[in-house]
Amino acid sequence: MIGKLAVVVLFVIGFGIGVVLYLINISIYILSKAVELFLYILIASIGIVVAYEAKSIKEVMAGIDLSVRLVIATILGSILGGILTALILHSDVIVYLAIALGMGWYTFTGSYLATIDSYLGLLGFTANMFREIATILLYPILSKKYPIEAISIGGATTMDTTLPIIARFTNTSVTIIAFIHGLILTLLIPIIIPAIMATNPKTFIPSNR
Amino acid sequence: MCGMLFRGDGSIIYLALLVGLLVGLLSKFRFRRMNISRIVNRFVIVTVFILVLLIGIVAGYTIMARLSIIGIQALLILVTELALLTVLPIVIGFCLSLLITRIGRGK
Repeated sequence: MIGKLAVVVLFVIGFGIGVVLYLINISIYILSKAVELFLYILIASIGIVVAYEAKSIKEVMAGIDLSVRLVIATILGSILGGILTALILHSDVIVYLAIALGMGWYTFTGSYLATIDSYLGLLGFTANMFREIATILLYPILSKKYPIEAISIGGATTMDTTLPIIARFTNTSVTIIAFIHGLILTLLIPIIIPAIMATNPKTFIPSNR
Repeated sequence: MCGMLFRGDGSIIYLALLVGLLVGLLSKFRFRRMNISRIVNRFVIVTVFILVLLIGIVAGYTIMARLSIIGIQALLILVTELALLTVLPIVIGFCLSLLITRIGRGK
């Protein structure tokens, strides 16, 4: 419980510091590089634990089966979420579908959609970044009852940025499932989003703007 | 776009994982008496907290930088769009995963 609370509190404190740093116009280039470095160290550490504790190939294969099921749930959830958002806001279904199908990969979704429309880029970037933030905040809470099912919240981020959180609050088997889930989605997203946007040659004009 | 095919900086994520897996496998056979995973787990616990703090800083900064390019009026519309685009895929995906992971597993 203290660990979960600490994750939430630290994130909120960090977010506040980030806002203040922006307001006083201080660059965070070194910090963003530090995030990358910490991430690589953590991924290597998780690799050590997984290889050290994995019982057999059978355990990894069981992980693949569950990962594929989770990938299907994550993609379907994103599709339905995108369609529902478009229906509620009376706007372009294809556009919201593409944003929702970013599944947490904000650097790709934001950059790709920005080449079509800058507002779309902002929306794609922020919505997917919020998904990563939501995973960091929600996974520790949901992991006690739904350690496997809650992986779908993280989308593509479960292979890197949110993997340490998943590893911290669960066990080796769940970490393997999360990594495979994130890996499959990471390989699919650069194919899915351009394919969806290719079906919508119109320029994006939000109905409510 | 090819550079962005893999999350993070190129394929360093995969390289880091591969190195970790190799070290883990080697330690499994070489240092059986030492509980390597317990030592690494303790290290992970500490670094996760540092990483969460750093991710928070980068997120706060980046979101502020992005939001500052639009006006206050458009901000309200954006907040609605963001709320729906974040919450709906997460909630529906989670509910579907509750169903799909149980199919054929007798749960």
